Amino acid sequence: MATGAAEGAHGPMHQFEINRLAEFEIFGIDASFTNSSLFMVIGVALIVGFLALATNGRSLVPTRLQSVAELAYEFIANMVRENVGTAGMKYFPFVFTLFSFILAMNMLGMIPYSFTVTSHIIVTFALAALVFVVVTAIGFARHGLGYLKLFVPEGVPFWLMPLIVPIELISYLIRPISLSVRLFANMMAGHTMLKVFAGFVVSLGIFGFAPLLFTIAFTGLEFVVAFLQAFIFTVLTCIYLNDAVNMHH
Amino acid sequence: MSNNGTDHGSGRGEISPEDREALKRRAAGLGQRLEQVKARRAPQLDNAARGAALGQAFKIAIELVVGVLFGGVVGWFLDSYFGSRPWLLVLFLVLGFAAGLNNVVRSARRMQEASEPLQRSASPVTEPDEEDDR
Repeated sequence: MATGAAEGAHGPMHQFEINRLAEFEIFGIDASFTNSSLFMVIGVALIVGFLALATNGRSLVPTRLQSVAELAYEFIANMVRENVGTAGMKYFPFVFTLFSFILAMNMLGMIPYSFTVTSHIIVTFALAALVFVVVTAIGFARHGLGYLKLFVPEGVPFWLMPLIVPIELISYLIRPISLSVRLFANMMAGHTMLKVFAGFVVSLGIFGFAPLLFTIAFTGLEFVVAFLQAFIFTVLTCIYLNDAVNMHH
Repeated sequence: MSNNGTDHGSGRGEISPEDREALKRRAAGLGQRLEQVKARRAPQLDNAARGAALGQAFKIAIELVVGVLFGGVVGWFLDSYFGSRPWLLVLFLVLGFAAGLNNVVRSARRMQEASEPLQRSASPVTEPDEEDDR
């Protein structure tokens, strides 16, 4: 703190640090309210506030705010219908919540000095594990033990079964890992790169305009990535739901 | 260049009709190639589309990497549990690699289906490629 005006004291990884804002301990588990929790609360409050405000009037001719909400609804509803079919609309609230939460977290992270919740693998893994558990539960609820047939592809000779079944099982088990790593890696790599190049702007002096231009262009790309990763996470959730609901790949 | 014999003297400088024809054909060919290149480049200028393509590329790469890593980690832990040091690691690395490939093939097929909606009704060729993957 005493190092004065040197801004270089904050490395590119400083933005990912977790700070306890209020310390809590429940049964020996550290459940402090951190800056990460704060941004989750802000995000959820923003989503709920936005949707409450947008659906307040419910006019036949939508206001601007209402049409944005309708657009978001149609976007996710079409995604569910396309990937899972009308039987999947039962799970629309889950998918919509997931999408809006991840999108809000990614977009909040684009504000300078804010914190990107989705740049922590434990958060994205918790989300992916939730998807995994929900999808598996739906699969077993709808098909009972027949859901295990997912691991036994049709038309495979029986002597290949000892090989194919473990492969299918591992393919199924690594889904939450690749789902979470993808979101986390994209968010963290992008933000780190932005910070590193922004650091070059100062240290290169007059030639700093080159990394400055790059940083501006890259910020635009980061907005695309923030949306795209929320989209990809949601589409993959729909695809996994499709396996559980309709049971064929 | 060796065309002195058969010119009709049409008074167009040194360029013979054959040469002019060839030139015209080359010009037309160049125009055509330019059009092709332009058509190929045009969609790439779209920043969002490029981002989407990048996302898909990452998506596939990560699936393969995660498969191998998962196999490696599981094999390592099972090995230290059973005390059979290298063998389960080797087995699970291979299985993880195959599972990663399985996911890659599946998502690539899904992308293809998404880009060719007409083929969606056709029955997909199921899984005989697993043997080749190994």
